[in-house]
Amino acid sequence: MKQLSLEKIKFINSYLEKSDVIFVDIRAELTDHIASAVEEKMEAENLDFYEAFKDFMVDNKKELLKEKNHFFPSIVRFSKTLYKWYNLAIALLVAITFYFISETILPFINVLIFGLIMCFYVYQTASALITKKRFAHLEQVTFSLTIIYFGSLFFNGFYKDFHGNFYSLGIVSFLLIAFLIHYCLTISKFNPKLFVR
Amino acid sequence: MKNSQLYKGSLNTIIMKLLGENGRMYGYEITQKVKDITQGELNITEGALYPALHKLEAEGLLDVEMERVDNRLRKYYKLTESGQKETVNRLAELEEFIRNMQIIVNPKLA
Repeated sequence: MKQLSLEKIKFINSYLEKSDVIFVDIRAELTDHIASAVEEKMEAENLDFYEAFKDFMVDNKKELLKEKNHFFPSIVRFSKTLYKWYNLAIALLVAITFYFISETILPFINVLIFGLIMCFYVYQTASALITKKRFAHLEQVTFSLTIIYFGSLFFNGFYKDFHGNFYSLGIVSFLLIAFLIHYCLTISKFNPKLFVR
Repeated sequence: MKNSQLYKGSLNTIIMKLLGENGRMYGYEITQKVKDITQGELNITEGALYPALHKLEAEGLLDVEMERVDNRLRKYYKLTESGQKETVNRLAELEEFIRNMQIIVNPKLA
């Protein structure tokens, strides 16, 4: 099977970028699909790259780009990680910590949680603006943080209006720590640096 | 997909069955496998395949692995533990569906 050169792969990637496939990971997947199909076409029909690419895109462009920037916000994958042993250990640690915490410090912890969530959103937005790269997987994971944020607002209140208790704040703290671990594991699995070439 | 309305509801089950039998697969490989098995009768389009894969992944039924292959990144899909269990359920449902359709379409043969 003819293997496409890096230059041809970059050509396909650039074509998809100009076709407004904004997420880097979705674009990488579509690039691989097109490259595989074009390689097969070049081999089977004895075409050069540009002929095979043009023929393939004429037949398949509409379907390929149909759901080009769609991803499914989901908390399912995050919620399944809550049963992992390391998160259960963290839950126990958080419970023990909160057992010894004075009630007067709870509003401060609430403010700290909001500060951390806001810092995270700023970091993600700045990262996307500076690198000009967005990853559907990371934005999907961030949906879970949005749920945690609104859950905390509901149960604990905003920073001057704290109406939570040890339990509600403890649960939110645990979920936030579990989320940050899940986010880091997602990054390590996808290693955004792999996409830079 | 040929006869898209008839096959639409089965796409997720088809994907999960293939992954159950073949370990991990990437998107293009799935389309080619289905085409080979059905001798060209069933052609899964990219517009149907990738949203289905992403939805199954979002539901925690599939896991992904990224690898650099032939100058590009390839995303492999495989069933999670809950995905394997769900595959059994969905295949049983599909078999039941086929049996019922056979009764409706060909009651004499049932």
